[in-house]
Amino acid sequence: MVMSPPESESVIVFERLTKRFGPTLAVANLDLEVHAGEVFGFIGPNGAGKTTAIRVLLDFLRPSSGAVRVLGLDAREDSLNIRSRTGYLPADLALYEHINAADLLSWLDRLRGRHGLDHGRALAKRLDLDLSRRVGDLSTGNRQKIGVVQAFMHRPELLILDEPTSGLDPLVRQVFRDMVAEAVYEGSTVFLSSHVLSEVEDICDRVGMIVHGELKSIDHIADLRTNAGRHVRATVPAGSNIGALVRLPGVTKVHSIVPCRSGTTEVAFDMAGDLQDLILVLGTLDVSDLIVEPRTLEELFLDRLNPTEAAEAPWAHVQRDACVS
Amino acid sequence: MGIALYCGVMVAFFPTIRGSESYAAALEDYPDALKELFGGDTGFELTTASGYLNAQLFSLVLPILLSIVAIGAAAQLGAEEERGLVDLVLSNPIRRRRLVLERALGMGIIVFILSAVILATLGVVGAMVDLDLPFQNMLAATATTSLLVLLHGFLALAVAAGSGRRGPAVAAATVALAVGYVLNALAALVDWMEPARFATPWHYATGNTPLVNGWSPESIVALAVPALAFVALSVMFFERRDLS
Repeated sequence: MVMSPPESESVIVFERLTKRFGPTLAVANLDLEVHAGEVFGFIGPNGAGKTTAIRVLLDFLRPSSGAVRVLGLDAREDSLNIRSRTGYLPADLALYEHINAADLLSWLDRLRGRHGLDHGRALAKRLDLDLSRRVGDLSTGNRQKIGVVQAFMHRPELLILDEPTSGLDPLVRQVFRDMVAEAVYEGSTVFLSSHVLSEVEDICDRVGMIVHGELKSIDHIADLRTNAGRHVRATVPAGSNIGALVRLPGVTKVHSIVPCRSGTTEVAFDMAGDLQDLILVLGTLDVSDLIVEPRTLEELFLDRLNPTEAAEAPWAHVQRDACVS
Repeated sequence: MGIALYCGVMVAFFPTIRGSESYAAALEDYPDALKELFGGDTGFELTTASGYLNAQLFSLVLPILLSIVAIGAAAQLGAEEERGLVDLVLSNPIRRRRLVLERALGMGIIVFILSAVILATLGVVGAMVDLDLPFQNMLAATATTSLLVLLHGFLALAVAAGSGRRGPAVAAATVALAVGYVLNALAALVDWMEPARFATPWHYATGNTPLVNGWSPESIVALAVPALAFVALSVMFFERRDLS
């Protein structure tokens, strides 16, 4: 767990938040702070409690016990104030379908105190969203774009985004990432929950993992990348001293050792720590191909979710069949 | 518009029935129980203006038609919550009670407009066929019917506000409407059930036959108080609970 520096203001504070629905414990003793200006990612399996925690922020749900403060205010007592300074994108977005997108945004703008629609229209244009069309006639992706626009358009201090890019194609996701970066540059804080770990990796500063209602870890993305380890795939001539490679001290898991048509053998393994020894050994072999890439956030977290699997011996599951290259 | 048309047609037909002696004679032969079931002694006198209007419109048809509209509008709140639209609205700086009160006000306006149309239709067509009913009586009848409808509509609103669902809201209000009607009608027939009629809103709406007797302040109060109570309950339920 990462300790937060005492000088940072906290835009969101969960203090031992517990939420029960009847006998079901949705969130258990959640302690979490989100600092001003950061992008915080909330990840976890379905039903882990992410959406529940988010809905408490907006006073849709009331805590069973514990406290929640947003922008320094009580989430329940001062909800009106909080909601006037927040932009929210819910997980299963529902929109009024009988009006066109422009009218919908206009109505929302009025509810929020008439900030004006210039920024909203500009965002819609960047997302390639036609505001003149009736909401009911739009595809899921386009409706999601409306959701994104309405969350960002009044330049709120805090953005609460639940699965914001679901249904969006890769190009649009890129625009979304730019929008997040710009919002942060202008001083906003972003709290988002997502299944798409590659995106969380790209956008977030810190990531918290929640499983079965409990917060399991909080990490800085930068630290995770540094300590993540690497996938290594090396192609060497058949008969080479492969043992020297796979018995290196940093090797955590050997995936496969397979002979290929061209008289070579392909070795794939994971390695943590210093790569210097690896480079020295590779230098002694006649390497025809080499791929070294970082382990993904997804793999890291799957390890955390399945610690027994991750702790197995490196040789536990070595494949020896079909050559990939 | 359909309601107005229906009212207009019903009233227009009255002259053919009014004073028709054979019609009156035929009705005399109906079993008493049946007559009482459908509106008591005065209610089944199809040959008088008040009796006719009562039977054709006010004792059942108009309340039902208007209730469909009012209950539907109230249950929409539940439907919107089921769909997730309440999240969209309440993520903005709006108090929960505003949502409920705006809905209640909207229902009141709809019922008021429909009632005004009905009243106008009755007035116009009635004048054309020489209906000869005091306007005050028609106004009183329309007003009590409106209150009856709003009472059940606000009951639906309270259930929608408390449950977050459309189905239970419609069911509760519809059952209340039906049970109330049946109890009120049966109470006229079955001696030991007589007191039960005081528990039904229908009694207060039609029991004093406003078409015949004009305004009855007790009826107005007996309908308005529960109606307002349901609105208050709606606000309370909606403010307190977790949104689904």
